[in-house]
Amino acid sequence: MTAISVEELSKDLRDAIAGLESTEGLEKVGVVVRVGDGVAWIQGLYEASYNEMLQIETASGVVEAFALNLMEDEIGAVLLGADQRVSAGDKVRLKGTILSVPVGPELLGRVVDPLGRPLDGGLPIKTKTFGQVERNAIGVMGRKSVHEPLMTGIMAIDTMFPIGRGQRELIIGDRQTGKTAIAIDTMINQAKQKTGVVNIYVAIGQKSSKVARLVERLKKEGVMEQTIVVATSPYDPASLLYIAPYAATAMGEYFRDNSGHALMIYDDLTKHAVAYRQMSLLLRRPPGREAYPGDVFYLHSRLLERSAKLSDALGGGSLTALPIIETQAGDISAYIPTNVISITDGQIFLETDLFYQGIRPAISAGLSVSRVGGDAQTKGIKSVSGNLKLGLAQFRELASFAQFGSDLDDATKAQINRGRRLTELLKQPQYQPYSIWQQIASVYTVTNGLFDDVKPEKVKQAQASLLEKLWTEHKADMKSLDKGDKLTDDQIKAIKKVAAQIAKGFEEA
Amino acid sequence: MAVRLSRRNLASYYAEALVNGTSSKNLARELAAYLIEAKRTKELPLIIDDIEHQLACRGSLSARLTSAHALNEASRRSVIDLLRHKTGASDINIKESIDENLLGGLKIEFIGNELDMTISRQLSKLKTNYKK
Repeated sequence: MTAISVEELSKDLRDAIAGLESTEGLEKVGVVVRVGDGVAWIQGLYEASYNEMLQIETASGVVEAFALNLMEDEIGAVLLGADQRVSAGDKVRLKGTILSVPVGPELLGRVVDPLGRPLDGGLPIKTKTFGQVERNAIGVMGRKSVHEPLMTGIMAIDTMFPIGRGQRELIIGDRQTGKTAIAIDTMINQAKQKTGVVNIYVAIGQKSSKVARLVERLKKEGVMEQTIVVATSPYDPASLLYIAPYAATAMGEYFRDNSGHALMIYDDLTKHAVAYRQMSLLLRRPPGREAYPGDVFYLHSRLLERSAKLSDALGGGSLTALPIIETQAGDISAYIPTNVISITDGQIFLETDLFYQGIRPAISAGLSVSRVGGDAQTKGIKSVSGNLKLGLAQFRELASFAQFGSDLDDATKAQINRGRRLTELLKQPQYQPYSIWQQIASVYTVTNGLFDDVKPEKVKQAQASLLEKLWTEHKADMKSLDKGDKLTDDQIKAIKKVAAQIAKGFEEA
Repeated sequence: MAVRLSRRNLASYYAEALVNGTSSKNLARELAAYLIEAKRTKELPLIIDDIEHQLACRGSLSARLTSAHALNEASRRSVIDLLRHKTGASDINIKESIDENLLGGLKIEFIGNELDMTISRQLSKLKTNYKK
């Protein structure tokens, strides 16, 4: 090894510092050659990097943009402001940074745009830290397996397709099937159960009226204090729609990296893919299947890979993602749905038919799956919901088969009867998430046949009475059940006793 | 179909030929003929910028110096020294102009770089920051 001369090193450092200092004030500049449809083509700026921020000096002030196409002769940059303000000949400067947004607890309770500017009419947001919009996902060694539950409060999900903290669970279905409703209920449940999970809802190209209604509801339910809403409307430029989920993820990562827990809801990634397709086509990138660019898979994989459960060494925080995808006529084999299905750790598939049959949430038991959430399910729920999914899927198959004939054996009839009551039990009105003890008691009652004599259409009423009576008469037992442990003999006795009393009042004639 | 030549390639060819001593008139005729044939005459100002850049890479730098008042010889020399230090160019050609709207200070522009130390720029920066 050659000897290291400290004097020489010191001289080199001083020279380097002097060299850097003398470049102060020297800026890289280019010129806008063409502009239109939210894209500016710039000549010069030979040293621009991919995704680097640019400042375009226009007659009415500075418009920001970021470089996405680095070509031999020019740069294709996507504008973050109105393209009407930019004209050919405008000077462009390299900012020397990549896009970052304000992050931190100051954003809680606020509605912001993807650049962190308030949209709720409130005061400007001043945060101490900024997060990079594009950031590498945590590596393998920085992660831990998903093992803590993220309770949605929706019985059908928590029992059959449980979600864990750090998981990516896709919500997929046609329009008007209750996709956003599931996401909102999950957010509400975080506040009701006081889980401490921060909600970040990303509206990608959603109508402003829909976002306004959502914010009103979240305020009414007392959830807004632990929620950040990142909103973009169809009126916004495609560039804002494109960066919205990445910017929101940067906001969520702040909580994850500080040992907190955050829940991301991307509503929806179909519109995000469409916005990216628009940008790519305007940037003259070659179109592929359904005119999407070749890197549309990477668009979503790099976003969702940032959701993770961190190792203890990194603080053990988590970022859970519930991306939403809208299908056309129930076709889950289209391009974007198959991409996102393969990226995520499971999907909750909502069916239009079930929705109009009154089965809400309209979750398809056959097509939905949670690949990693089983390990995160609480012991109590796991013990009662063991074969709930199988039983329900079998019932739906038997029910359709039974339509062809009436000669059924007793075992099949019993299975169908149980299935009918289970289906009724899993129906759940919006904004009414169930706590852990409510879910355990309800599922235990029906799967153990305690409500077999209750009319199927009365099951929900019977369930409400059961829960009310259990809470008034066995509060201590139910409180301990709410911790998620397995049912004790005393708790089972209490449930059986109350269920028998309740069932008498709702018996079939 | 002929492959479309990039501006950078055109400029590189032109700059190399100029440095090697080819007559600029001949080169200009050649380039003009190509641009007319390829229907790319509208790109002329961009190609000239690119040629300027390519020439600077080969040690021949053209810079524009704008100031609110005429510069004295010492200031001019220090600007040339600065440019030589920054670019390593051996041949530096400065085009000077006076613009009273700059209010004070000077602005140097060369191959995609700008050193704007004018009062008008400082004021516009202040205005932008104040708006934020």
